[in-house]
Amino acid sequence: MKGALSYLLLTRLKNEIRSLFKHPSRLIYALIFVGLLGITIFGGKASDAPGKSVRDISELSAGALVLFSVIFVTTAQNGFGNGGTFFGMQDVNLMFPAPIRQQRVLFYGLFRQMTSSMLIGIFLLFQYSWMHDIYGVTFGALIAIFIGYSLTIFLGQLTAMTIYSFTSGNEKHRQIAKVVFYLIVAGFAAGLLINVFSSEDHLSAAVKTANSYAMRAFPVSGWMAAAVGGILSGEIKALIFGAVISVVYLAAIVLIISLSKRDYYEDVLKTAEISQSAITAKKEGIITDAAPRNVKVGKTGIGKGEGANAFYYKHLIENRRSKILILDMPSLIFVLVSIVFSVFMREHGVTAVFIFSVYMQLFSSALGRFNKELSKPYIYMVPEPPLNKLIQCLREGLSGWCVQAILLFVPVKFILGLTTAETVICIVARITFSILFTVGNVVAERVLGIIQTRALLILFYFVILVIMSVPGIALSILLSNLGVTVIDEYITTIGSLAIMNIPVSVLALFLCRNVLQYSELNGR
Amino acid sequence: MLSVSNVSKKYGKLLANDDLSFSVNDGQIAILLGPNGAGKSTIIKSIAGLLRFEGEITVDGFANKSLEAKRILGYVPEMPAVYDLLTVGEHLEFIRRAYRMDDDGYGETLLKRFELWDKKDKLGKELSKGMQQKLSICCALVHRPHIIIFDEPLVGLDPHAIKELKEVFVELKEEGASLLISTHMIDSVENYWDVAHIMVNGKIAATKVNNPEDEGESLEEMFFKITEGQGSE
Repeated sequence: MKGALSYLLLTRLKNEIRSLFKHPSRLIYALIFVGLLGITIFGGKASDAPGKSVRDISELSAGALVLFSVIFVTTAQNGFGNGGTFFGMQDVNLMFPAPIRQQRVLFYGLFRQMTSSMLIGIFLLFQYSWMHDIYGVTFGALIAIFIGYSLTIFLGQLTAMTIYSFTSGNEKHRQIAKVVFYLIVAGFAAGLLINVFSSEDHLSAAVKTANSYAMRAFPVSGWMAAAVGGILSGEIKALIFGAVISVVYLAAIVLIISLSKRDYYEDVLKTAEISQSAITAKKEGIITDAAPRNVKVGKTGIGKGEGANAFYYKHLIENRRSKILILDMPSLIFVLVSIVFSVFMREHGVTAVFIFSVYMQLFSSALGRFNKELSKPYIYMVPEPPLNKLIQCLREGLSGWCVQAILLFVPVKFILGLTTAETVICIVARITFSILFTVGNVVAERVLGIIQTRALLILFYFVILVIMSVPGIALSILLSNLGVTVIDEYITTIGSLAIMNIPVSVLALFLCRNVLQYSELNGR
Repeated sequence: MLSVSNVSKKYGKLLANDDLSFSVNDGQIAILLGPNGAGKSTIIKSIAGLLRFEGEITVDGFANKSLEAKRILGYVPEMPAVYDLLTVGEHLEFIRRAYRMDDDGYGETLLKRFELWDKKDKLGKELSKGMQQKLSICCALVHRPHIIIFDEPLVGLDPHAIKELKEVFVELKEEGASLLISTHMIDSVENYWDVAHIMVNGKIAATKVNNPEDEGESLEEMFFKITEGQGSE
């Protein structure tokens, strides 16, 4: 029995690799992934020039602290809800009753979770180009940021599980832990803000404070940022501080769970059941609503809509009940990151900020309830033209796209000193990119259907977006060659991209309209 | 009238439906029987317009994927099609609105018949699987379709709902609707069927017309004679 878990791990790994060769499409996507990564790395190095000056690397360390902290806090706070689980139903049914020590099973779960946490951070590897260009980051240093990010997620999940294990059975304990958790977060945030605003030069103060040991004392993300910052700046003391304290934390948590008399099997059972039902539903072609456990029904009745737009009004009710705000957390984070980026790049003009914000948008663009609709027969059965149904299903995102663009470019206007006309063009262009990216998702759905490997779907999605952006790029080159300029050359480029995004999106939607003709096209 | 002519459907190399042809007349209940993997759900989904296929399927003379056909077609899927975050009542309102129909009280009647009226403000996710199946049936019927296809509709239902659904079958038939019901539970179809097709390996292996005066082989005997030894794929 001793070897059962290692057998399971190795066999799973072996089968994953085998499936790569059994499904040539996966292999192709994997190769595309490697190819794109190669282009990012070599493309980034192409701009190298002797004596080229780069910005202060401590700005990047400060950025890492902010990113890691947002990720850690949002992950760890799940411990006050469902806790999350490292185990699937197959583990619960086969491993939990088997004569294997609980601790051993726990380590198995931890190991698997760590590997999946690594995958989440893969998008960071594609940031090489700008990080290298602006900060002179080497690929090795980027790997350090990637590992730091992945470990932050992993330790965040572990923290969530621990919080859940020790507080789920007792509401009073849960409330106390919640207050302590948010007090710590608020304390550090307040410390950072006070330091930033008590100085004349906010940016320098922010960077200095974020790299101080006081801030690096913040649990997990602070330690990770210290270790990563140490690697970036060659500050061995910070690296040792961050690494040692993180390892001690990991060991302490594992020890607490292992030695405590708590039966964590019971704690994970419910969350395992929930995630299993989601997996089963996915296999059966059903996408669950990811509805919160406690839904406030509120006012009942759809009240509006006829024909295809009944879907839109239905989505509004569903979003209200699932507490989906106009802006979701990833979008908000990416908007904030883009604003911070504009502070660093304020001497490089609006184009760099615009391109960066559009690039970040790639990672937050989603289809909302459209994918869920595809799993139910109604979207196919309702007697309305498919294009109408498609547009109505995507309509729910529009208000969010507008708010996102405004929230981003109004602060950027003041940071970069843009005129109102330039700001409006940027906002409109950003909205058209939201539309383009959403339609890109539909095209990916139409061409590929369901792909279990999210990373591969994203890669294909990128390729589609590159193709869809070509007309806009072509127009901007044409205008540039003709010497046509509106406001200035940067705004002309952004504007010409925006002008082409709409017809390209409409054409792509029209060509994809039969995504609603057969559920089979979506693998459902 | 539902007409299926020379329909074939392949999933990769697997031929799930092999040149199927049959029709269901107005006021007729046809049943599709067969072991697991016989191809019943595939033909049902093809009729519902969810799958691509070779051949022709018409609904009252309209191609099954046309808007005209969709207006008069009702489909009860094998897995309950329920939205987690809509209440029971909102499901029927949504279908009514999507099909551009006025509220004529039929939705309320259906919910009462299937004992869901007192749960009209409950969310889809709060319903048991059996209740979700009942709601799914109500959603398929609320726009008063003329041709209705059911994929294993009795699975998961409680005895009262089974009784009620059987009564609904007979009423719809009397109103002139065409019903096609797929099932692998022979005892559940009893004697309300008009014509039964027994499917094996994607083909119709036998067709039996319900004739009360026929004293020959029962449907069950016929089914086992055909399927035993060559049933599941």
